[in-house]
Amino acid sequence: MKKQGSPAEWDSARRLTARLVHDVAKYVARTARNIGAEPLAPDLVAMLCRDLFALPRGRASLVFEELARPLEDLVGQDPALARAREHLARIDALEVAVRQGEPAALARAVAAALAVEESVRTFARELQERTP
Amino acid sequence: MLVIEDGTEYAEFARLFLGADFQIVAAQSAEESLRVLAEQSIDVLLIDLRFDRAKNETLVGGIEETAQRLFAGDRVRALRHLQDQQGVLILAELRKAGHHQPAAFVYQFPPRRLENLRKLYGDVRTVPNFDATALRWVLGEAK
Repeated sequence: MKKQGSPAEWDSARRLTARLVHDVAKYVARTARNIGAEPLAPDLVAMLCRDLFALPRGRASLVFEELARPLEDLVGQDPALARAREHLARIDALEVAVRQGEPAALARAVAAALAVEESVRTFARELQERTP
Repeated sequence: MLVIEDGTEYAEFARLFLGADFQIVAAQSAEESLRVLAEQSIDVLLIDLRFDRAKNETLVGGIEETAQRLFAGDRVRALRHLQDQQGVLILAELRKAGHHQPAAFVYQFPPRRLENLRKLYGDVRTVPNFDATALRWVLGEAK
């Protein structure tokens, strides 16, 4: 965030960040955080697919963009947000294989989902530290 | 466990990952939660914080009154506030009605906010993310 941001801009940035953490980071890793190395049962594959491709407000990558773009208008480009975007693109590229339950794709998607959560939370922590 | 949320994601998570430890019951508003608590024995509450998919008329806290009290009449900001804080507002209603079960949020409250919530609402526990092991641990002693 630019140091000269107005109180209203900081307020908007905080609110968008809170939504990014809640609407994307938390939900994208809902299944990924709780599964082990063993093959996934079909109900877990279905739940993982909802986390990645059908969150309450849509596909995770789209929900991310809806929030991250106005946020970047306020705070500028950020490496943590860029990392999250890359991981979400990887997830989208794996969609067909993930939906088919291919183990290698599932493992990569799970790793990417956890990385999205970590990147967004890193951004949120850093923004909080910079808040005047 | 009574899961209170405006969607189905928490309940789905709880049934799949906490179902061996808890019997899961779900509610989508304060009113529905109070009805469940009157009819069933509930040990713990798992509450979503943001309720942006709930119908306005089911939210705790009047939009107009909140707008006048906190936002100089701005109804848009008032509704946003009610949605963003609905989980806490529901907890306040449940406490007011005499339900003092441990309440867990999947949310990373700032330390001072959490301290304040505990002063106001007693046993409030938190985990930062959907981590079944951590939730089982913070709620374990409540079973």
